[in-house]
Amino acid sequence: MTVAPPSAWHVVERVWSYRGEERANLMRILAIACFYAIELVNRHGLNLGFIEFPPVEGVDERFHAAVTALAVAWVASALGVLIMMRSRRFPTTLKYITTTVDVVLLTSILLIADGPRSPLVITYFIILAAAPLRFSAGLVRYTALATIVGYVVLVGDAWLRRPETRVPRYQQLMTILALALAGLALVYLMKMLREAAEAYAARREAP
Amino acid sequence: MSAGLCASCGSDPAPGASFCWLCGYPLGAGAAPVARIAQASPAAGIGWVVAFVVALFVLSGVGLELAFLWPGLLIPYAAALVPVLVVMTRILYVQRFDFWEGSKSGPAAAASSGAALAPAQPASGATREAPDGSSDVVAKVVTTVAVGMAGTAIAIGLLMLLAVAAFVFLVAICFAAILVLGH
Repeated sequence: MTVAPPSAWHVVERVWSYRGEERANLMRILAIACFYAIELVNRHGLNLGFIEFPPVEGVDERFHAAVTALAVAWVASALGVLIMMRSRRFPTTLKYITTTVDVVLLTSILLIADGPRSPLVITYFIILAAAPLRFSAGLVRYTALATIVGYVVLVGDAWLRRPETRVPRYQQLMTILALALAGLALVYLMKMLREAAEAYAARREAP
Repeated sequence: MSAGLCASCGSDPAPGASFCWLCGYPLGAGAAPVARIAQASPAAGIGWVVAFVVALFVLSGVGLELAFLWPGLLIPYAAALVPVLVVMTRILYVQRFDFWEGSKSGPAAAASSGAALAPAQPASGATREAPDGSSDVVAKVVTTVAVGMAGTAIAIGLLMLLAVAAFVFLVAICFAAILVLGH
């Protein structure tokens, strides 16, 4: 019995999605290491002689414990992805799960930090920028939506619970608009990439 | 069923699998081949090794924090970390987590070690095939723990040697400085 093979594009998409997920996972772990190092410096301070980073006042023990727990959870999830991929388990939904975990953990950290006022808000853009690595326009759309929802949660939390972390309305709108437009540009990029690959293949096959 | 690499994407299929885990290509006879893309896809590289090392670095940093700030949490933290270390050592050793898979051997495994996205384990005798075809989980775990402990011992030994060498170097510099300044 002859079984129909998957389409060539499906095979290419899966292979590059696998490689992209590995790179995104590496980026995730490196980012956690860097941001946790900054958190340690904020907590304990650092004096190198020629340059000094004094401890930040707002980073108390409770905040540090929460950030440490979230960092461990994030590294554990990244290691879980690594183990899954090295066990030949690479479901189509994995990229959506990892993106959701990224957005939820980042939003959790921001909820215990300065909310929408925190400079860590730009990390939403890093998560969005890592989405095309998985070679899926659907994932880019989902990531743009998820990051916007995460930011709206922060704004809502600041509005309802912590007025000291509020940001002006125009800043909220600009951030949401920037996330949406960045997502749109990345979706166009994914579509153009596929069209370019197909055009290249057609030209190579042409006599 | 799966004698070698997937004819479609070049990945290494799981033992006994009917379809490729990565692209879904049927591994049995009768399937029409499509253009292979493995030639254009180099092995996964060392990115995942770097990811593992950096993750260990972060987890060790958290362990140090726990030791200083909340020492009571250190023991449960270490207990939770040990299985992760065993699994990751296995992945470093044979490049995949295969405790529950039957072992592969022969030219297919050897051929796949260089070109596949998830290379096969080397034919080093690290795993044994049970008579019923299932993997010998205990042997794999024991081998992995032994390899992990040996690797850790070697790493600690190298670090101690480096420390001794640095100490000797510093002492030599001090003596040289004393001799020069003494004259």
